[in-house]
Amino acid sequence: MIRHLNCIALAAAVALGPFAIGAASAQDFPTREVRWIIPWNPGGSNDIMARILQPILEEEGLPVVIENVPGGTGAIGMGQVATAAPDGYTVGQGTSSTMAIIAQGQAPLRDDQFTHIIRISIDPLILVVPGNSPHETLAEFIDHMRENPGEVTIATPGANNLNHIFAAMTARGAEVDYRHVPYPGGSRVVAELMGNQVEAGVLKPSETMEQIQAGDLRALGVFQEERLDVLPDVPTFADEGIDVFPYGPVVQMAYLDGPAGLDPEVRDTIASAFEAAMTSERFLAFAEENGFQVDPITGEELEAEIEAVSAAIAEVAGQVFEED
Amino acid sequence: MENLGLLGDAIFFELSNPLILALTLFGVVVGFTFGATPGLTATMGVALFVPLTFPLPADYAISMMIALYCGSMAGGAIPAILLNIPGTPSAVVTTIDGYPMARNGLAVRAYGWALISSVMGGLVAWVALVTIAPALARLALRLGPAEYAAVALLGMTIIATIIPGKLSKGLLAAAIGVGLSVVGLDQITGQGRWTFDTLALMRGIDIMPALIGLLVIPELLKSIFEKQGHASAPKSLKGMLPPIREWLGQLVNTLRSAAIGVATGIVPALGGSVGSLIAYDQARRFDRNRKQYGKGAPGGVVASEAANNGVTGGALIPLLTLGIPGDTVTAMLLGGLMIHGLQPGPRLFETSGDIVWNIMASVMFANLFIIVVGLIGFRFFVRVLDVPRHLLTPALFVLAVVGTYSLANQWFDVVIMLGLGTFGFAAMMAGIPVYPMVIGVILGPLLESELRRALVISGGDWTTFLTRPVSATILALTLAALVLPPVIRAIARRRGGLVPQVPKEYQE
Repeated sequence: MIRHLNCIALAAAVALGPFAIGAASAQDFPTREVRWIIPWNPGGSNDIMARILQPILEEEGLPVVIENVPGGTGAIGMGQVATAAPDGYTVGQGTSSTMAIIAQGQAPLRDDQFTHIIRISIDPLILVVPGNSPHETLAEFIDHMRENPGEVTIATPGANNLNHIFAAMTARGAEVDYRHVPYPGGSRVVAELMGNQVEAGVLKPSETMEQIQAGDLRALGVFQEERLDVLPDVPTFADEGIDVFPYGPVVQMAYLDGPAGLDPEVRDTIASAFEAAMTSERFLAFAEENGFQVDPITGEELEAEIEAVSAAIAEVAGQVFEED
Repeated sequence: MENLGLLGDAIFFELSNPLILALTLFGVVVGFTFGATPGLTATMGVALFVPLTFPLPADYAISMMIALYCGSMAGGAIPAILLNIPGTPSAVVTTIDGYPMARNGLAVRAYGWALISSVMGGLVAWVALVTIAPALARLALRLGPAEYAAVALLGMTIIATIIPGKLSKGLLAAAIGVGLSVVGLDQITGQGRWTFDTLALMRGIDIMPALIGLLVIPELLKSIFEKQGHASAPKSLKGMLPPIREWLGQLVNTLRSAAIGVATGIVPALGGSVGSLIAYDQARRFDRNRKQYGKGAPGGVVASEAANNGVTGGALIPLLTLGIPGDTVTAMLLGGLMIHGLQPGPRLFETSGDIVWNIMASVMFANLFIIVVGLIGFRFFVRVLDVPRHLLTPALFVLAVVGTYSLANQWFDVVIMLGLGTFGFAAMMAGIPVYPMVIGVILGPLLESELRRALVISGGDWTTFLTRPVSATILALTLAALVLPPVIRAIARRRGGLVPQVPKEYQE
């Protein structure tokens, strides 16, 4: 009986253990906090996502410290990841934006400097117009572009990234030129749209849901294969007969990277803690509210996905940005 | 009326909640300390302490975050006045008159002016926030890249003309500042400029390392060579608050500067330093003692501080009513609010009205606490003047290095800071002022990228700057600021020394 009680106590200690000492793996990883570099400003969507995950990760036995190292479209922070010791104590948030500038050879980094650990989110992109825009539908907007070749403005946060690619693909769909207006961040694009300074923008639902629901912005089209759960009435570009993926599938995503040469066991420990945290109710609810998707692929599947997207971006960029 | 009732409820709720008041006070103290310590910044204070609020219930956490934000902006005046080192970018203009006042033995009074103006600026912004916020925020969105570029140009013109010394050297310094801001990724094309294919330079020269390097380091180097140190510590703190008569004399200046601050705060991405520059320029124009400006005029301190605290409150307006943060600090606040399940945006008032009114009440309490914290805190901060220079200089140097590193955890920032510091000292020796350089670094990217953006939107048509009424007005003001003073002087000379309407003793 007493032994039985001991067992219960032991089980309790094991269950509560992660709070104090961190879970033990085959190699006792982690014995201390893991530094998670977010190469974007505090308060941005990647940062908020990380800070929501942080307490859940701790419960899963992976204590992390979030460090914001912004600048250079994420290349500065990811540069620190690339040059860190591959012991699992330094990881960073890779995104397709950083991937895009690496793929175009604009940052002194290479994809093979990283070990890809797990995909964290897929962010769909949408075409939005001001709430008082005369263009109620995607078809109307495309017609408007055709009637005013080379004069319609489309704003994006940053340049040479997926937002930019999709802005160009919209113009390609209309078979006309357009004016690309890059801004330093998504919030500025929202402000300029609401002030009717520009005619359309390519943004994430998480940046625009509030304004869309308040009627200050209107979503016209979704740049992916399927419609969004949060915006079921908004058609995809394919629904309207416009192919925005003429060079292969490209998708805006965020994933966890470590330095190249990370021990596979350590990688799997981190990946399973993240997978558990990301599939927790709390995080899924957050994802649903903010209109991004959670699809935690790992290992070879992730490597293949990143390689494919990276190649597609390089291909598109070569075709698209030359013309700009 | 209904709103007043809701606001009253929120104020009463906070009053009956000692823990909220204590957290607000704590936030103000921490923010104030970060703002008042050269090398540590408001951004850093918010970044460090906002995560600490995450475990708290939303009401409590938000009160503390708001207090941190308001407090940090008010603290920046202390080192600006005592050491000629602005604690925050927006306190740059405060040094122009605050430090000369301190050197004239008026450190305590200068701070009194700064404190009272900060609080007034904060309260004017609060009134704007409570009453006309949504309408104002929508109005501000009508300004686009063309207007931003015009305001940046106006700001640069003002700084080149208000700094004592030759206009040509001021313009040269501003040009150097703009040149520095070119390094890094081009905002429009995303291509690297002057990066030499290195990661470190891709990031460009950030505002804070440049600010600390150009303003702190030359000041420290100068103090090594100078016989007389900074202003000596005042023996008593009596006479901090100016007499009511004098204060009434500055009331118009205070209100005008606060209004300018609120207006610039509401426009996303303009930033605090433009607000205080424009307010300072206006104050100088209207003040009878305008010759004193730059030599220790209270009006200069009042204008700068009322404006930069007006900006603080003003920046909350687009954040809360539209969900659009104006700068990095409000962007962090946005993140903080989102983590507590609040989504700032057009619907915030409907979905979480009670919390919005709590935020409003917190802004008010934070501003009231700033008076207390300022009055008491100054006693401690002023002691910095008692510290012998052979201890103070190295201590400030260490703070500058540590502070710069911790901005983004980049050693290269420290290299930039020290490099620019040495350069700034050399420039100072050559009689080239460093302030316009700093303003050039801050406003250069705004001017360049907004100008190009406006041209992209207009399809390369330069007349967009003249056909948009607001942009045209701002450009006309800029031209007037440069051309009118010499023209008026020339006319006056021709008429035999008589200047219409302006008595002789008020001329420059």
